[in-house]
Amino acid sequence: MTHSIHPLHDSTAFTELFEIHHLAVFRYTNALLGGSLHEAEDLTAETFLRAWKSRHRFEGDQNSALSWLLTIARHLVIDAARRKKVRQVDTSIADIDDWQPLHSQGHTPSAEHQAIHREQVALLFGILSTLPADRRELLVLRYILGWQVKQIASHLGMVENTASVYIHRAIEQIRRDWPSEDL
Amino acid sequence: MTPESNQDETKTPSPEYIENLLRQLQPRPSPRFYRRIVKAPWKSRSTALMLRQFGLAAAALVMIITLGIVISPPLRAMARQWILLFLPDAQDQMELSIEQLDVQELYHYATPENFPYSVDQLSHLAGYPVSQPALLLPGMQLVGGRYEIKTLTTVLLYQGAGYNLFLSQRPIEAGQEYFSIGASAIVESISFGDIQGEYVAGGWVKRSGLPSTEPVPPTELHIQWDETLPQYTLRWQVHDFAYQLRSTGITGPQKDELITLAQTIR
Repeated sequence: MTHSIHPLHDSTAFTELFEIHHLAVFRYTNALLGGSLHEAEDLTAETFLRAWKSRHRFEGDQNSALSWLLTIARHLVIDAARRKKVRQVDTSIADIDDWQPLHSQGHTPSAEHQAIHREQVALLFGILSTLPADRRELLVLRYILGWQVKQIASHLGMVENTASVYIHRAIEQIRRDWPSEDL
Repeated sequence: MTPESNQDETKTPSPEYIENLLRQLQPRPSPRFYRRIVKAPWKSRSTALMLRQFGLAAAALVMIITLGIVISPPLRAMARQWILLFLPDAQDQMELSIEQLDVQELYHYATPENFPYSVDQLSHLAGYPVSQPALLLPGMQLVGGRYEIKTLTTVLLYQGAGYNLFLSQRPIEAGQEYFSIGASAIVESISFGDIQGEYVAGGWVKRSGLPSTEPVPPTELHIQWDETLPQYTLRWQVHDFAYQLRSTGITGPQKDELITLAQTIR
């Protein structure tokens, strides 16, 4: 029987874990929080701090570490939402200005397109915030973190086909809620 | 993908448009976040662990080297050469019994017949590429080279107006070279580029005051270190090779010019 070294056996291994996964955790919390950068930063830092404190209880391998981190992050997001007791997203254009969204290679969008893009992102966050939390998380995992449906289903403990259907319905929900004058 | 290209007739965005917009949500944390993470407990422990591991490794290495130097004479000789490019003697005077040595190993008169080889020939003899200055001082020219097989040392002789300049180079693994300095010699640490070297002015003279490199080699010498002797020596090491530039003569290149030459040696 082969015993593998615990993936978080020391601070060096944990540092590596942080380097690999902190962007995913940050983007996950940011999207679930509705685009608030500073709050997402705080929750990402808190996620890793809690993970550090409970690292000896983690029994998975390196591949399952991100799922573990996202689970911690999800609880923190829920707690934060309860504390705020608000359902309305407070994403500001200023927050979105801090982003560096992906662009087509070699193509720099015009100022006008950038302004449109910022508005579209703010609108998207607004609609995302109206979705049920589980549907929102499905979209975040599928499109922002780029997970495969099979991976998402495994992480959330659901049947793959169900995950796929929910994702499809969530996209359709966003389409329906999209104000036509904003396109 | 522009919004215009994704709208259909009913002004409803296509699923692909929504998906692409979602994929573009790739923000990065601000510097504030990374400043905060620097203080995270795993960061400080990681740094401390690395420092501790590095410290232990360094201590072990120093202990091994020290033991090796103490126990092994060849290692001791190499260590002296690594640590000190010049080898100070215990005193400023000494007697050399050169009957047991090949006199020609000590005195290579600066004449073309003693430096008969070209750079290419020297490289072939030595088995390593012989370096030379890319630029020479005004009026300076290459006379030729010689090869000292016992120390695998090649020596190039250059001459200018009233001075000789010797460029010696040898692989460090060949061992110690015959060159020492008086106990009172002032050795200056020199650095050029990322290279560390040492410079010393002066040389050994016969007690009578005549330079020890007089043409007729005696069989026994009583010599004394003379810091006023117009002999200027710069030594340094690059990778596995030791280099020495030594000029003799009142008009010979001194520290700054030797460094200038050393910087151009390729």
